[in-house]
Amino acid sequence: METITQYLETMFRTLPVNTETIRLKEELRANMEDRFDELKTQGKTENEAVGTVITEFGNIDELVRELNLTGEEQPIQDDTLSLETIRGFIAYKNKTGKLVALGVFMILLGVALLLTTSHYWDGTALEDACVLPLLVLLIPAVALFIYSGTLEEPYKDILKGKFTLPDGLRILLTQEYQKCRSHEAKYVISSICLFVASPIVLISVSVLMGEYY
Amino acid sequence: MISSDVIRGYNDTIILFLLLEKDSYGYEISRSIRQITDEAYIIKETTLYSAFNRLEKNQYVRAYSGSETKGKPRTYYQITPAGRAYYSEKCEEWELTKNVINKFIRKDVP
Repeated sequence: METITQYLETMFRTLPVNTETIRLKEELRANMEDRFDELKTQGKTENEAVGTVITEFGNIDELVRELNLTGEEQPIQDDTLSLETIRGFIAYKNKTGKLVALGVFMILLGVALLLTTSHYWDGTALEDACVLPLLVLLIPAVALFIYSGTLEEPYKDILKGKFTLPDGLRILLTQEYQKCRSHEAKYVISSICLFVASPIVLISVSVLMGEYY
Repeated sequence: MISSDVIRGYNDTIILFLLLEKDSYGYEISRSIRQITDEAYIIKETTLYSAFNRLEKNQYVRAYSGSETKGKPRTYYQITPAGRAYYSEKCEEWELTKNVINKFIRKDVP
């Protein structure tokens, strides 16, 4: 029915054209036309029927409010994250995690070398040089720490907790997190095993070495 | 004609009632409301669809595509178990409300 279609077009004219509004318009039109037909079979004239149908339409603002039809999924805030930003953040965390781990490893290696060389070089001319391995390894380690610090810049707000996460992304990320958790357990267990293993190795080696001296 | 302000809290309940026995779609639901109330309540289209949206968001109903006799594709609604539970709650709430309000109603208005 032309009049009904036109009425709906007018009501929806200030609203964005997307799948939701199109679907809704169709539903309303189908409803209103059925009502129109019903009134006609009750003997009303076309004018009367159309008039009634339009009266029974209601207030478009109610729909706009309820369905949030103005096209904004949620109030767009400056700190709403996009998937791209989130992926970037996760990659940043992975990268800095590895860089910092490498840096720490270098320092520990330096300390280990210091202890080893001091054992062998004690009482020799190279006594004071024991510190060298540590210092040499310290430089790249510190460089790594500073570098990973600079990577933080674009994600400052996220790290401070100042962000808004759209619902859809929240659900997606929760799912991915669940998948990661199983890996997390393996890593924690293996690192604890290494912690426990290292003094055991140290003690057994020094016991063995003790046999040669 | 009932004012929409008065009926506001119970639009969802009315629609769920109509879905208790069988699934239905927009026009059929508004027609049932008119017939059952003897034209005392004629629900507005916008009110109806706002309610559908709310019910769906709260997962009290499930929407699916079906076709009516005229061949036009329609969105049918089906009540969910959560919807049934909510409906029971609203029925209890109404009984309570009715009893409270009745205490202040006089048939013989001075």
